[in-house]
Amino acid sequence: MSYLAVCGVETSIAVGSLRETVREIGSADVAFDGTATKSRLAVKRDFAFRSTPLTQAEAYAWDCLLRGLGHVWSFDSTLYSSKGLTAGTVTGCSIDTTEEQYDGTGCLQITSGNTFAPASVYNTSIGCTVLVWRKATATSGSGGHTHFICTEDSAGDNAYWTNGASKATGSLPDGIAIASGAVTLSGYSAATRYFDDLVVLPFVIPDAWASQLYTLCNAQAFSSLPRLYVNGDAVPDSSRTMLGECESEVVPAVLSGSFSNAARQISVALRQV
Amino acid sequence: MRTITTAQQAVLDGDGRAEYVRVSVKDAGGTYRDLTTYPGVNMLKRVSWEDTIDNPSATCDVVLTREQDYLSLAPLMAASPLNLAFTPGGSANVLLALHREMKVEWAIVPADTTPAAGDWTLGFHGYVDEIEVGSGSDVLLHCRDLGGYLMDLFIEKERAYGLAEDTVHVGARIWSAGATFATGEYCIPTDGKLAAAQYVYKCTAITTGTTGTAEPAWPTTLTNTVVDSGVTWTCQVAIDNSGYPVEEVMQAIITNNLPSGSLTLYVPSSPSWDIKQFKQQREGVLTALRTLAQQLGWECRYKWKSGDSDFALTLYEPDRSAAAPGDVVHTFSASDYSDVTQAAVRIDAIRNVIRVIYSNSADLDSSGNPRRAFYEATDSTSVTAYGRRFMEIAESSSSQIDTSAEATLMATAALNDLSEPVLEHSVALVHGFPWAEVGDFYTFTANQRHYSADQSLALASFRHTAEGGRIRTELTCRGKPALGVAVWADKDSRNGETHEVQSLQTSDGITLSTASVVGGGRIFIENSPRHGALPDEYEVHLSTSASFTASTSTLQCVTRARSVELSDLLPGTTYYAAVVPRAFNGQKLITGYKSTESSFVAGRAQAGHINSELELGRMPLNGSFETWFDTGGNPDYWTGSVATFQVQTDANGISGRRYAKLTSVALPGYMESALFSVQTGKRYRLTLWANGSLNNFTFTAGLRWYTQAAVYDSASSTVSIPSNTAAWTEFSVIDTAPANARLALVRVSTPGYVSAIFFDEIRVEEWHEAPSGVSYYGPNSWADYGGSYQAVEVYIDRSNRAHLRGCAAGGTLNATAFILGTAYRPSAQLRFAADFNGTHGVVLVQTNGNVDLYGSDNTIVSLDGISWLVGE
Repeated sequence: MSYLAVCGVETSIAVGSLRETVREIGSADVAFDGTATKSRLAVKRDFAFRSTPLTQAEAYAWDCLLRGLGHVWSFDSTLYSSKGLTAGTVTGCSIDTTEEQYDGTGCLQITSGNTFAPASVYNTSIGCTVLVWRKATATSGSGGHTHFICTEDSAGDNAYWTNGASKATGSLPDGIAIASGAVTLSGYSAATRYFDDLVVLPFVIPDAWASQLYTLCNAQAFSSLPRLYVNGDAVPDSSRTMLGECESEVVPAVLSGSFSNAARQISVALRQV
Repeated sequence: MRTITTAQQAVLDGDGRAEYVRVSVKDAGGTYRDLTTYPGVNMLKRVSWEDTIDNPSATCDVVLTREQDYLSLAPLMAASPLNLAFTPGGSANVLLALHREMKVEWAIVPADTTPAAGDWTLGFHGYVDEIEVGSGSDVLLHCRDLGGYLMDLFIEKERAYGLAEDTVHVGARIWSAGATFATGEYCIPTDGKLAAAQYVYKCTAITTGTTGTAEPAWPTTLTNTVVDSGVTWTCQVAIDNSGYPVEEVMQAIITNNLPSGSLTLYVPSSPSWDIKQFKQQREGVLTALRTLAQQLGWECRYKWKSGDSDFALTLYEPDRSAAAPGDVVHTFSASDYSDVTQAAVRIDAIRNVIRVIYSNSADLDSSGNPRRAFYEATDSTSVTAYGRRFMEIAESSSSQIDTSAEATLMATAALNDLSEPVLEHSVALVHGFPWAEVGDFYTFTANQRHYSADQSLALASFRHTAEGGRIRTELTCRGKPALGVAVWADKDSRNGETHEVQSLQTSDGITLSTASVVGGGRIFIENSPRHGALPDEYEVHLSTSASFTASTSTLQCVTRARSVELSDLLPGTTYYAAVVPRAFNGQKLITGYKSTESSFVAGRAQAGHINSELELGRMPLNGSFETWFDTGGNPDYWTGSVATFQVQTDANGISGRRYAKLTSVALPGYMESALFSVQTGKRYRLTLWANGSLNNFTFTAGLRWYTQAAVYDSASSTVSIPSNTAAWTEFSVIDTAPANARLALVRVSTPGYVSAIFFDEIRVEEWHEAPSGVSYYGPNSWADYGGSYQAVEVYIDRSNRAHLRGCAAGGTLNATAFILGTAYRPSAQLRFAADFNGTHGVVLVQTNGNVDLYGSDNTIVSLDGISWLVGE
């Protein structure tokens, strides 16, 4: 198990930098006669750490992920993301709850010839990443799902992983398109198609994240951004839902055997919600 | 206080707790949406709800996060998923809207645990009254509890209640023209017809459902019907005045005015108070209900009803008996609160003399209206300690406080609530205590700083604030369980705003004095009431009998003045005067007692009242134009038309101070006198003096006859008056009043050309009758002498004297020449000397009308100069 993973991606923590602080929700008061009292709703545990030096791309990806940028569609009951975003046109799109979903209570159903294209809301000039489950056409009932992680880099080039492996470049799976950051899921030309757990991240993930993200998505739904799923050995209570912030500084470092004077080291704060 | 469950008590007794709150709002479809979960994130920042005994409803303020990303609670953000029920492209389905039902629920569970479904308890239930989205990044909801809606819900139609068993649950509207009724509704006649009917009528059929323009003839036999334009009324039940339970009437008010749905008044314990018929005026429903409840010192508001796990509109009596430790529902020690924010006693709310003024249904005036009376309750101990602190509650005439017993009960309740100073004690609890209800009786144990003994106080208000994962409760306690001081203060009428319903017992305040005036009397009203303010006005009653009963037959006038002059009374007659003060409560008339009487003798006119220059008895009145009150208009009793009619005041007239000038224009005009009486068949002579020198046109003057009804009948002969007479000249014309003539006037008509003429001394006098020929007795062959001599005629002058004139000739001497009609005969035989052709003769007039001529020469006999009094 990772020491500390955010959304399934293991963090690289500088030695000795991880700190955990505890917040009590409620109040501690002193009564009129001096009696100390306490009401406590919950105990919240927060993390703070610094990363090891990272490349510019890695640092940027972490920055975006920790801030909770992006949208997550669980498609359990609505066509809206966890932040309230949906497609401009939803003709032929609906929530299906007849066991076509990968997990949760529902999935996206797109009838033949229609698309689900949520509006692009981020600056995508530096690329984006899409995570989604697509159900095989001929399969009915549960099962038959394939997970795709698709990217579009700043040059507009596409790549994708199938079930977290087998990176393919220059194209995207059928029914999934990314063009200048605009994501489109499409139905089959002659049949209904199902998607589930769509995640749109406004950055290109490092290749090393693909398998980790797949592992997470295979086990559970992606956390509702900006909330982050945090787990690992450093989390004695096994997992937490947290909100993140980070700052970065440019540091000289040796990365992958080469010296770089433009490495980045990020300072991370994670607050339990 | 709301019940603390065993589980909750265990938490209270423990050392740690977790306090949760959630707020839910009904969406357009009527489904509650929890604002802490429904948006996907917790949008609730803070919520506070409070209640006070001085306000009729609890209130709640909610602070929400206006938006997070695309999730916006702002109602005008049409694209927000929260305003589309998470349906892309769906129709607007705004989550936060005015008048949406909302609720606040709380859960207090052991520390570090989350509440289970059964842990949530309703803390506030109401409606959204205001939504504010412009405050920073927040949305603020201001809400009132369910009673707030009843406060705003207006009673649009007046209804009468407490009439009869059939209508006790629905009330009855008062009939009005053009009103709309539905089948099953009840009505009663208007005040003017109610006394004669005394029944309640039910709408049993409709066509248009609209009443007619005039009130129908109400049947007074049960089951009989009357069609009132588009409504058929059935005589349903007789009105009785036995009274009906107040809670049933209150329920009827609720049912009648709820636009939809139903609401049941919860009455844990009946007040056993029957109220009699009254008209519920137009006001807020909750105001009407509380007015009824508070008349007996009870309260009507939303309270927690544990059996329903919700708040219910409740009629209840504050537990005024709570005073002993055993009555305390909860005890707070110094470890339960962080600070005492207030501990004060004040004198300004103390009232130890309570006067309740009411309309006493057991004492009615002559019109059947209850007289005003009062009951005064005093706490002498309080008066001794704090001085006399007076309060007056003036109940309206429509109040159900209409007996001495009820007024006593109300005054006593007020005295209990207000006679002693109360400690106002506010504390901030270290934990939330959402079980609190206003009226709870709590004990605060001695804290050795503000008080060294335990203090048991009633909860007057509370405020719970949930924020940052905790609930804070502030309690303000005051004295014993009671109605709010503000409730009683609202009823205090010492400021005189309700003076119209003050006591009107005149016997201890009003004094009359009177004086005679010509043809009447003057009444002076002195009023120094011992109780209450002055009435609005006075009825003035008059009778020729002492100790009379004031009634409509003795009512002379209604006045707001302090002096009244009554005219058209019989001069020399003794009159007895009294006044009845009266006032209005709204549109309800309240009359007081008749004052003591004062007598006067209606005065006679004195000789000095008459101007010596005024001629009385002449016709037409003011014929010499001497009176001229309206100096800008015509002389008195004269009018003009088309022509200009002016009074002249120089010395050129021929009588008196004034004369008239009539200026003619190019159209016919005239001047006319006022009407005067004439007798049909009588002859009248019009004389007038005229003087003119302008042009040579002809004015005419004559009489115009009018019937008894003052309707024009015909015109008399006229006399022509040239406009160039140059000197004052008298003109006259004589004519006989025709058969229909009873009245007449003088008209001077203009020629219809531009001219002018002066007039003075216009006079009409009764003239003697026209002479008529006699009836010669044929066998004796007498006849008129003829030729240039006057034929023999007879007439009676204005002195009732018959006259003969003319000459007769040729008949048998010493025999009857002619026979007079009965109107001319004397009462005794008369002898007159006469000329018989130069010789002496005798004319004998007998009582049978025979006129015999005795003489020696019948050539010519002169009868001129012979006259006698007729019938004397």
